[in-house]
Amino acid sequence: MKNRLRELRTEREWSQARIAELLNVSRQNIIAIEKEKYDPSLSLALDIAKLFELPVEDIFLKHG
Amino acid sequence: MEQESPTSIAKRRAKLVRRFAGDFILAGAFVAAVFVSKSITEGDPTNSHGALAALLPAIILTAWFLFLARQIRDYGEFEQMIAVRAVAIAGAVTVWSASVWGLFILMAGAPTLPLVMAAPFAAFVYSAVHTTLSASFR
Repeated sequence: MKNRLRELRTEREWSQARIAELLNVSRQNIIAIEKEKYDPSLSLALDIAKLFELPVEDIFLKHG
Repeated sequence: MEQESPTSIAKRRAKLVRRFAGDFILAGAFVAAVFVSKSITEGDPTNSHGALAALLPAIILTAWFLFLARQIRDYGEFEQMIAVRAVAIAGAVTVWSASVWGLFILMAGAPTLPLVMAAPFAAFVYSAVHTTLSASFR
């Protein structure tokens, strides 16, 4: 699933390690999400949305 | 992929060391227990303590499985996904290998292998699959 995590993270000048720490997940998890190789769970997606103060659908974009 | 900070690298390596240290210790204990139990039963012509001797490595093997299960339970969602996939693949490969080898034993006179090899074989496959899956997400 396409997502804007990397774009939103770099806008705030946060490192992958920093955002991983904020979300209480591993850096490898963040890398996999940014590379669109892994779709986060609903819980994590909501945490990401809350962190960036955006709706989930503004961050994660379903194909087609 | 951005450069990883030295702190992040150190934390990640410490986590890996803890994980593998537990595996190596329990694997080593299991192998040692098998040899100890075997030597007990070989020194006993009546094999009166056979069942008790088998209990020692069986308990260590159980502890190893519980250690793995606890690790997987405590993982974050991403690491848990990789670990569960690795367990499923390792289990399938082990069952397939045992069945195929069994067919060769039955029909082609292949040498029998002790069933005790199943757990170490599965652990080896799990490690290989886990490493491969982790690398595929980078």
